Amino acid sequence: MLLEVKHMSLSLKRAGKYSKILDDISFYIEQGETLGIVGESGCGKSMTALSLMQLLPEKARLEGDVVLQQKNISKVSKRKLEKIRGNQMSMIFQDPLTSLNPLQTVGVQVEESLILHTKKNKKERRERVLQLLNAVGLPRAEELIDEYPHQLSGGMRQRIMIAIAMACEPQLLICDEPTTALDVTVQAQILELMNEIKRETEMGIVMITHDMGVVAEVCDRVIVMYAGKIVEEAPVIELFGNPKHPYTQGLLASIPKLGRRKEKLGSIPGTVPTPGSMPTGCRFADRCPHVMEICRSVTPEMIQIQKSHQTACWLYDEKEGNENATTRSHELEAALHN
Amino acid sequence: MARRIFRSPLTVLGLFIVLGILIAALFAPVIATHSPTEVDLVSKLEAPSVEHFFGTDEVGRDIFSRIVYGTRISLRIGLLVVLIAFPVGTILGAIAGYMGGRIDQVIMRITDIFLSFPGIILAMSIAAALGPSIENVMLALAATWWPWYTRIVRSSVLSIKHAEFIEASRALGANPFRILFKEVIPNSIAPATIQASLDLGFVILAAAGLSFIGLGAQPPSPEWGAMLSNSREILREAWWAATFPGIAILLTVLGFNLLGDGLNDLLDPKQR
Repeated sequence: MLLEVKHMSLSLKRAGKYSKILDDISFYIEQGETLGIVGESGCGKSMTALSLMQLLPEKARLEGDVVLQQKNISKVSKRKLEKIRGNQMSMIFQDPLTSLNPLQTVGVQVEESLILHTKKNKKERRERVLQLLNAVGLPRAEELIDEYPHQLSGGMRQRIMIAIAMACEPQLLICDEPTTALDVTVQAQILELMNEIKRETEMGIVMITHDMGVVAEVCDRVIVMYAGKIVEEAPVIELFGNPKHPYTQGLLASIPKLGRRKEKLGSIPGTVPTPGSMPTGCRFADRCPHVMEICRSVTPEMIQIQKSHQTACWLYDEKEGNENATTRSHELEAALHN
Repeated sequence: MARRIFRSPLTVLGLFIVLGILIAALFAPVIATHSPTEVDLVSKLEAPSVEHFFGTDEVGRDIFSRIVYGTRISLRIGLLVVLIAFPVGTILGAIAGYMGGRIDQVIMRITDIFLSFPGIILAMSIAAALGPSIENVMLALAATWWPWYTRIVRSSVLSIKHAEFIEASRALGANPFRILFKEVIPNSIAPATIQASLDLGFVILAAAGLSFIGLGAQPPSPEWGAMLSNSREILREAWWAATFPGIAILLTVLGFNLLGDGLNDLLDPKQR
């Protein structure tokens, strides 16, 4: 197992009070696997990414364990973390326009992690930089090395971000919405590049996105997050073919499909509850079309629907994984009448 | 960039004044017609003429030559004070802004103490305590000038502190020290640089003020403030003795100000 996250919770201090942003997140990634994390804005996807990197804002409290290659990185010193970051695990950020230093040349920025983590001399570093720029499909690498970020297009900059992240051949790559800020055509190129990198290396990838198209394109397994909690986990084909949680169903219904103009696009009414004002019970209850009495009072646990398909919803039963809504609600109704 | 400078006539004027001052300082021995300190009692208090462009003072020294040599003193004071105050203020401001918390509190409260005194009064007391000399004036001015840079740099650091490229650098495993000097400071130094170019003029003015009240350059030295101070007693007989050093100070401050303002407009992306 490449990465294992056990019962990770994150609290941020706001107005003197800690409020939980991530609540009891557990998942794992195997070597060479791409795990998608999907959800709406504000559900804690990006915070999950930063927590994995242990790159947390001040006044944040992180609980639980993040184990990277048998090493619990939530317990190591800052010094050791600096050795791990960029070397064993790298991150690609959402907006390639702002994640490059505007005052340094491309070459200097790609070289940075080589300086930090390897003992290569200047010549070797330059060679590696050229090799990386070629590997991410950038033309005329020799000239590019001396150019500044503002001279490049968004797609080129994102390729450079990927080159920077790949410089030390990390085992784990965390991508925080790497295609969100790009044109659709460029998005496709970047995803193609990611797939290529995946094929060539044995790297594990965490792909954070709100774009189901990206998930379908590159992910092997998917985690659906809602309001700081994992609500469903399944292999990608299973998730698209047989979504269980009403939130996942809603997400999939809201994808526009080509050639189906007349049909009204599905949307989920309401917004994600804000941290600090989390409802008791299931956090999706207020927006759920199948809401029941029990949803508003008791938090559902993750249950196994099938091998490697789990969800946290009262609609399903542990053993059969069948819908048991009718029986449950009858029972509840009976209970209420008495 | 160069073309944009020439679009603003005031910036061009500033540039020319500053260039003129630089040339005067560099080639003082060539430009000056007389020695700046040679006493010539025979031709004392002469009005401006072809022989003495700006006249002579009460001991017959050529005022034009003294002003030309004075540019060296004033420029040296301006540059050295800014060169001391700017890095000190910048580094402290960057540390305060980037580290935050208690370090920020301590650094900023100290700068607040310095800023709570009127600058010239603080400089006067430091210069007076150390004894009158040009070196002490420079020390005194540097000691009163750095807090301004600290403030400016801190506020621009706060605005870029959470920029993604800084986060990205942390994600690469760079340590805070490296991030501070390679990412934070280079990206937040521009407003302070502009302030520094404006300050060159103000420092020269302040130094002239301190010399005027006798805390800076001492008599034979052709410092403009000291020259003004000397000319007070002969103001009725020799208007030129006060007027030309005054104009020199005025032009210098004006020149650096115009240039600084021009740089400000030039480097401000919002005004492009």
